Amino acid sequence: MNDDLEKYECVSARVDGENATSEEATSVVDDDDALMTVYRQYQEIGRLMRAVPAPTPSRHFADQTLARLSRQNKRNTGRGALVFAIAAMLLVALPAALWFVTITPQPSDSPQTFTGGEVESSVALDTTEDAFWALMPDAHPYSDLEQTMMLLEEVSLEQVLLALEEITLEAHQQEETALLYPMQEYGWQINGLAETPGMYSEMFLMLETLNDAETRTLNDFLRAALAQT
Amino acid sequence: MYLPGFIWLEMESNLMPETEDWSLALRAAGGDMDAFTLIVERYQKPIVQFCWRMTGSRPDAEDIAQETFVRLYKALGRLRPEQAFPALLFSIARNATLNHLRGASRHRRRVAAFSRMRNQVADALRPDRKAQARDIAEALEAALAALPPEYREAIVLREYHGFDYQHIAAILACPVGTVRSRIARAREQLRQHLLTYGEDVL
Repeated sequence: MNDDLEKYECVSARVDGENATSEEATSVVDDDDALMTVYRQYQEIGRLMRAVPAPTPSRHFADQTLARLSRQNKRNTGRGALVFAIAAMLLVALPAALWFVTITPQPSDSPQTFTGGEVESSVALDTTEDAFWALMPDAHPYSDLEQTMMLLEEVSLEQVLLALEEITLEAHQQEETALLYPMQEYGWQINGLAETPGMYSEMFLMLETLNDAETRTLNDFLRAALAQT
Repeated sequence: MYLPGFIWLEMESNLMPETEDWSLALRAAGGDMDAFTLIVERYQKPIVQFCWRMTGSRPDAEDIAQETFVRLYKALGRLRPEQAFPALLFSIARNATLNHLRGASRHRRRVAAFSRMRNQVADALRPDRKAQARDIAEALEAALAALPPEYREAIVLREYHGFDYQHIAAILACPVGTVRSRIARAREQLRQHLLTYGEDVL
């Protein structure tokens, strides 16, 4: 059986003019009537395949492609603007929140009777950054994308690829149309990334193609992968 | 006619020299949308047809093909001109198509696979298969659809798009020997399938 497969490979390669050696090209097929029949049948299969009509692109395909590109560019620009806006808000909100915390006395557990004198607060005020972020449980000092990059420093490339693959399946199960798995698009660069795990600039560019929900989902997967290591 | 080392693309104009493709790509990388539009118009037909042959769905094929060109545009600044431009573009299309095929819900894939198996079993049980071979093209389509994706993409790139083994290996990111083997196995599966309709089919 394996011999047959090897011979069929020679026959097939001869159809394509791709035989490695001239001896292979002649002796295998020419000396065997059965293989010569297979050779002609392979040629006929090719002819039948090429005879099947294939659809042509729709008339406005190029316009639709450019419109799609424009939409994706706007989304990426919007995301960049959002990151900038959040950073600007933090620059304003952080000092304001610290000011609010420092001037507003914390209520104590026991009831106080106002005697007219100065009342000292019994609660030590925490003005550290952690205290600020504790006041805003839904916020985070780093953007989703920055969190991704930080997580990527910790997890292996294989875990990243697995996480992206899971997201691809999950996205389609949710009937989203975006095609994820940007890592696979640049297949010729994957090997380079694996060999030089510090080169995250290319990965960053790929991750920029993800929207916010996809980035958060990726982060969740990466955290889960990190927790298992 | 297959020209060694060249890619024959059936376009409305004549054969496309690769240097011209890269010239357009470099202009597009610099923001020249007219150059990018030219690239799309030149390659839309073979890319759409490749995606259609892999997915069997015209709407999906156009969607994937559009995504291919969008990804090409985004990657223009990082591409190396020493690569074969058509092979590069087909590589992106192939990856986009595989994304699509992988992304199809597991349930739909199982249903489709079961349907194919059920039809094959039903056909095998019928006494006279020649009577069913009303349309060899349909049989060929069914046989192609039944090929594993890695065989199908290899034989499609070879028979429909005229790539040589080396370019196919670059597109599929695998050794030339693997390309040779996959094409041979694809042909043999197609041959065996078509011969069930009668010896005179081929």
